[in-house]
Amino acid sequence: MRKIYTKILLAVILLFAIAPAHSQTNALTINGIVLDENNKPLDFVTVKLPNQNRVSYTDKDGKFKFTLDGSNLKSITIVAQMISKLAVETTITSSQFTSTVKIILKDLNLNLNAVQVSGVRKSTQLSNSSITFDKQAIEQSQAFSLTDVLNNLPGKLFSPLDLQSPKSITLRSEATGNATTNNTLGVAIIIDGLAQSNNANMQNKNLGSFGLSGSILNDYKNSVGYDVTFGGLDLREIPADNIESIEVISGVAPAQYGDLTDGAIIINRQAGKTDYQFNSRINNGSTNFSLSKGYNLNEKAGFLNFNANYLISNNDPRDNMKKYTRLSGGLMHTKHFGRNIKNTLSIDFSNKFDDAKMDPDDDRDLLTYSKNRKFGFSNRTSMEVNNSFLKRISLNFGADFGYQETYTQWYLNGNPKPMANKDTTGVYEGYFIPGTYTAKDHIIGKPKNFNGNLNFFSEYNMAKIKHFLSYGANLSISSNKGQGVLFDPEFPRFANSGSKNERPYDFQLIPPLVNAGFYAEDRFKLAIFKRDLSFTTGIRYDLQNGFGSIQPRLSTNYSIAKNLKFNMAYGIATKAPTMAFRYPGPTYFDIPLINYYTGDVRNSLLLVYTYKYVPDNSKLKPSQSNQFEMGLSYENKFFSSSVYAYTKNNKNGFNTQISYSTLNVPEYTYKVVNGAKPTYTATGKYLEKSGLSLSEVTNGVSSKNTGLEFYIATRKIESIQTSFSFNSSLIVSEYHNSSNSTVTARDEDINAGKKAWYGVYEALGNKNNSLLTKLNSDTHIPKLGLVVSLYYDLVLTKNNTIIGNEKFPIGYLDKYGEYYPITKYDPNNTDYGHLSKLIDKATQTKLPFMYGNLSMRISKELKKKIRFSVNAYNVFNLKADYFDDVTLQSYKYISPINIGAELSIKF
Amino acid sequence: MFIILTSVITSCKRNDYAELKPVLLAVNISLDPTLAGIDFPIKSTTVKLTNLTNGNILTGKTDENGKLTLPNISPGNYDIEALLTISSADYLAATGTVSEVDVVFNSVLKSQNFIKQTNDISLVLKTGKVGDWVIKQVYYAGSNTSNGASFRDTFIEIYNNSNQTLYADSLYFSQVYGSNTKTTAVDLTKGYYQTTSKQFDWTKSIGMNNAKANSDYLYAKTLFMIEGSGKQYPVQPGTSIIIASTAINHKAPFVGADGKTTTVKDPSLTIDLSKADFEVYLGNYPGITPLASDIDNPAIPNLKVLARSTGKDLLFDATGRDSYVVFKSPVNVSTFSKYPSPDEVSVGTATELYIQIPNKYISDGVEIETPLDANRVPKKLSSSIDAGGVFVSKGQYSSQSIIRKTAKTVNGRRILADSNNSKNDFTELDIPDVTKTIFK
Repeated sequence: MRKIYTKILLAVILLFAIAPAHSQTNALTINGIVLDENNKPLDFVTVKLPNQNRVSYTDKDGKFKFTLDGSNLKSITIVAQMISKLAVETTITSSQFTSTVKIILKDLNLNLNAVQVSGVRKSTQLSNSSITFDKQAIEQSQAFSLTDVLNNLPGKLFSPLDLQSPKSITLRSEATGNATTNNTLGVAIIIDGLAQSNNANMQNKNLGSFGLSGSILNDYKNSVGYDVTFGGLDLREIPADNIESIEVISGVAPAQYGDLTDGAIIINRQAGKTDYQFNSRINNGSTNFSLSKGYNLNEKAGFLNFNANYLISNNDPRDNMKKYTRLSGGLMHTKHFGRNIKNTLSIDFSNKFDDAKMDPDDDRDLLTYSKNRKFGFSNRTSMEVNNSFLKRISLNFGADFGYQETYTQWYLNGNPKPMANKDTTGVYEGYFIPGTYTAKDHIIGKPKNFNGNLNFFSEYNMAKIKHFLSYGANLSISSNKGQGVLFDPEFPRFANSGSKNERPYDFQLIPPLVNAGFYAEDRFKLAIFKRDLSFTTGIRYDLQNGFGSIQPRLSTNYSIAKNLKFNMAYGIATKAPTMAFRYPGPTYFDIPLINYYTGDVRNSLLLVYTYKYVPDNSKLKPSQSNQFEMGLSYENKFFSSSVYAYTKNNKNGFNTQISYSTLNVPEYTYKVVNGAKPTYTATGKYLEKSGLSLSEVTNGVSSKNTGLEFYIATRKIESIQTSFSFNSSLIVSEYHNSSNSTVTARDEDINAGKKAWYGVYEALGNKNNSLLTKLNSDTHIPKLGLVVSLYYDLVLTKNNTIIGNEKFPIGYLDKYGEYYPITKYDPNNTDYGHLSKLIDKATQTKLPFMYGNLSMRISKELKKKIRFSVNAYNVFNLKADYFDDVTLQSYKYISPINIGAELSIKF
Repeated sequence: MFIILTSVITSCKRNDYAELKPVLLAVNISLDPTLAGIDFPIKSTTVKLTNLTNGNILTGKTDENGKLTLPNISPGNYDIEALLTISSADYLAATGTVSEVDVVFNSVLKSQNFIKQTNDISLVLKTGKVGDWVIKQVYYAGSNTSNGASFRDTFIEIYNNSNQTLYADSLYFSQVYGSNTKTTAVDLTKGYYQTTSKQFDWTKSIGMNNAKANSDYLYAKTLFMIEGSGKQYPVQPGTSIIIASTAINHKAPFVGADGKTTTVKDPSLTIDLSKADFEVYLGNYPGITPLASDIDNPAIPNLKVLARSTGKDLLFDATGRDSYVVFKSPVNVSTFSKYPSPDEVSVGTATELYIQIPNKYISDGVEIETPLDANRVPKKLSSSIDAGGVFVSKGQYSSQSIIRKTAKTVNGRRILADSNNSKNDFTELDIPDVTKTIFK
C-alpha cells in the first residue's frame, strides 16, 4: 500500500512542478458593483468566484474587479456576501462578461422571500455532500449552543434541550462503545479556518488503573462526567449566536483539512457593520442572553465586532442542585489593506462551569464541579496576488490558553485502609489511614494549543485545461502545563483498587505534542460529451506522533444530463492520538507484604512493595478512516434531490486493553512485639503475586459504517407559501474491538493449579443499524415576517446486535500474564482444557415499534427589528414507552413536551 | 446411679435365703436431670424385663408419672430396659425445637436382682444429643452507610442448642444460591422455574440427572468452613460463636500514631466485633484482588473459603434476599456435585457452578426476606429447613439484627425455638448483640 501512495504523491508533485510552465493566454476582466436595497454602494463586501477559487472585496464605491484567464470559460458564478445581508449567488454567461455585473444585497430578515430557514444539502467547493446552515437557518433553530443546530442533520434526532451533560457529535456512524468516542474525536471543528483542538485535554485519572471509561471524574449524583477528555470538544461550549454559516462535511473532507477521521464542521463568522442585536431565550430552567454589534471604526481602522453571550441552566429549578453556566465573548477586528489584503484578528474568551452542589440531606457529601476557561486569539490574513501562477495566499494562526479544573468528593465510610505513597519501585513501610474521610479527586489542566496554516491558491493551464491548484502546510502544537492530578494519599477515592493506587501526576513535565501536515489539491474540469466532468485530486501528508501517513482525497462529479449530476469521492484521513492517550502517566502497583492491623497503628505494621510501571505510547498510531462515497443529485425549478451511498472503514481507534501480569515480591516475616510495632525481616525468598491487571492504550477500535442518504426538498410552493423537505438516512455500523477479551477461569481451576488463568477470546462485535426519516415543512410568509416550521422525526428501525458466536479460546494467559496461543482447541488439554466455549452472548435489541415525534418552531418578525420565536419539542406530548418482558426494563423513546421561546431585538 | 446399684447389691445379700414366691416390682422412670423442665410426656414409657434365668420377657407401660408396678414377678435376675419414643410433634410441643425423627429416650440396667418382697427400681431416661447447632442471630442489614459501618459490621451467630458440648471444627456455613427475580415478575415460560415456588428448577440445570434435585438439595453460593483439629473449638451447650465479616471494632476502627481514636460518624449505630470468634478474609485468596474494605484482624482466626461466588468478603445481602444454613457433613464436601444455575444455556469458562448440598445434612437454616411483600423473591430453602422467612422491620442499614427466641430454660441453659419456621422463631434487636448473652 505504502508504495502506491508514494507513487501517487510523486505523480502529484510532478504535476505541480510542470505547472508554472504554462502561462495565462486570454486575459478577461470582470467588473462589478454591489449595492444595497436603496442603490447605495456597499464597501468591503466579500466577492468570491468559488469555481476559480478567487476572493476580492468591494471598494468604497462598491466596485470589484477580477482578472481571469477567459479561455474556455462559458460562465462564471459570483457570490457576494456581507454580514447581516442575504448572500447573493449569481451566474453570468460569456455574453455578459464585458458588462458591469450589478449585485444587490438586501438586509437579512424574514420579510425576504429568499431566506432559507432550514439546513440545505448541496454540493459545495469542499464536498459533494455538504449540509449547510446559513444565518437564517441558525436563527430559526433558536439554538442555545451548536448542538441544537446540528440536531437538524439527517440521521440525528430532535431532542429536548439538555445542557447538563457534555454534547458531542458523531457523523455517519451508529457504532457503539469506543467507536463513538473515536468518531467524536475525529470530527474536526474548524472556526474561521482554524481547527479547535481538544488534543491537550488531560482531565482524567490514571488510565492504567482505571481504563478509558473509569478514568473520567464522575458526578455520581447525576451519573455524568463533565470532561470530554477522550472525545471531541463539548459542543455546549460553542454558542450559535455569532455564527454566520455552518458547513457540515460528513463525506470526504478536502485535502486542506487534517487531523480528522469522520468529517468536519466548518464554522464561519464575519466582521462588518451591524446593528446591535440582543437575543434572549428561555427553556425550562435555562436562560441565554447574547449581545453583538459591528462597528465601522473608520476607513483606515476597519471594522470591529464584539459579541457577548451568557447562559445559565438549572437541571431542576426547584432545587437548584445542578447548574451549568457559560460565559463567552469575543472581539473581531477586520481591516482591508487595499483591495487585495484582508486581515482579521479575533480574541475570544469562554468560561464554562458545571456545578453539582452538595445536598445537605445527603450524608455522602457528594460535590462535583468542572471548570473550563479558555482565552484564545487568532489572526487570518488573505492576500490576493495577481501573479500569473499564484493568485492568493492565506495565513491563519491562532493560539488558545485554557484552564481546566475538575473536582469531585465523596464522604467515604469504610474500614481503615493500608496506603503506600512512594513513587519508585521498592520495599518500604506504608501506613494506615482511617476509613472515614472525604475522598477527593482533583485535576487541574492548563491546555495550550497553537495552530497555524499557510495556504496558496494558484492557477495554471495544461493541455488547454485550466487547473486550480491549492497547497499548503499546517502545524499544531499542544501542551498542558497544569498541575495535573492532585492526588492526596490521605483521601483516596479508590484505595488499593486492584492492588493499585494513584499518585500525583504533574502535567508540566510532559513534552508538547507536535503534529504537522502538508497538502496539495488540484481542481480541473474536462468536457466529456459536452458536459462538465470535474476532478479534485488532493493529497495530504500528516506527521502525527512520529507516524507519517499519506492521505489521498479524491472527488469527481459529472453532469450526466442538464439537471442530473453524478459524483464520487474517496479519501483517507487520520487523527493523531491526543496527549491523554500519548502520555497517560505511570501506574503504581502497591503489594502489601505484611499487613498487620490491630486497630491501633502504633502496634500495626504495613510493609509494601511498590512497582512503578511507566507506559510508553510512542508506538501509538494515528487512527484512520477510509471513506468512499457516491451520489446522484437532481434539481429542477420545483425541487432538488440527492441520494448518497457511502462506506467508511475506521481502524486504529484508541482504547484501553487490560493485560495481566505477576510480580515477584520479596517475602518478609514479622514478630509481634507487645505494645509496639512488629519487627520484620526478609527471608530472602520471593513470592508470586499474580492476577495484577493493567489497562494499556492500544489502537484496538475498528468500525465499518455503510449508509444511504436520501434527500428531496421542494422549492417554495407560492400558493401555500410552503416548502417541504424529506431526509432519510440508513446507517449500518459494525464495531469491533480488536483487543481480545479475557475471561478469568473459575476459582476452583485456579486453586487446582491449572496453568491457564485467563481464557483469551476474540472480542465481541456490535452491529447497529438505524433508519431515520426527517420530514420538514417551512411555511414562510414574507409579508407577515412569519415562519412556521414543522419537523417530524420518524424512527423506523434502530437495532443493536451483539455478535459473539460461541467461540473457543484462541489462547490463554498463565498467571504471569504470558500468552499462549491455542491453534486447535483440545478439551482434554491439561493446561487449558478447563477453559471452555465463551458463552453465547449474541443478543439483539430491536426497536419494538417505529415511532415519530413532531416538533415545531414559529418565528414572527415585527418591523424587521423585533423577532419573537417559540419552539416546542414533541408538540402533542406523545409517548413511546416500551416495557421489555425479557430484560424487565422499560424504555422511553420520546421525552415529554419541551417548550422554549426567544426574543431577538435589533437596535 | 451408683447409689441405686449399691443398694440393690446390699439388699441382695440380705435376702439370699428367702422363700421363692412372686415379688412386687415398682418401676420409677425419670428423665435425665439435664432435660428437667421440659415437659416430655413420660407416660407410656415401655418397660421391658428380661428374666435372665428362663428368658421370659415381661413388658408394661408407665403411667403419667412414670410409674409402673408389676405385683407378681418371679424373683430372680433381670435385665431391665425403659424406652420412650417422643413423636416429632410432641417433641416440638414440648421443646419448641424440631426434630426430624422421633426422639428415643432409653435406659438400660443389666442383671438386676429382684428377690425381695417389694423391689423398687428407678431408671433415668437418657437420650443422645437433644438439639443441634442453630443460627441464633443474623445481622445482615448493616448500619447506616454514611454514619455507621455500612455492610462491614455484619455477622452471624451460631448457637449450641443441644445438651452436649459440640465442636465447631469443620462446621460449615453457607449462603444459598437461588433466583433473586421478584416472585411477581418471574416468567414461567422461560422453562427453568418451578411453577409453584417460582424458584429455579434445578432439574433443568445442565448436567443434572436427579429428579429430587429440588426437593432434597440446596445449592451453595458461598461455602465457608471453620478449620480446626477436630476438638479445637468446643462450644458448650447454651453458648454460641460469632462469625464476622470483618472482626474489628467498627465503632472506632482506627487509633492513629498520636493515639487519637477515629470513630465512625455515629458509633452508637454500630458494634465492636473485635472479639468475634471467627472472621472471613479473602485477601490471600489466589486470583482475586481483595476488597479494599476488608481487613484481616491478626488475632481472629479466618474461615476456610471453599466457595466465594463473586464476593471478595463475606457479604450479606442487606436488602434481605439471602438464606443461610449451617451444617456438618459426614462426607467430604469436595465430593458434592456442582451445577450451573438453571438459567444458564451453556457452560463456559467462567460460568459459576454451585455446590449441591443434601438437605438431610443441614443442621439449621434461616430464610431472610425483604420487608416489603412486593419485593420478595422466591424461597431458597425447603420448608423442612425453614418454612417461613424473617426480616428486620426497619430494613437495610438499620443496625437491626434478627435473633432467635428462647423456647425454654433448662437448668439455666436456654433452649432456643427451632420450629423450622423463622417467621415464628425469630424476633429482632435494635442493636445487634455481640456479647452473646442477650436472649429474647
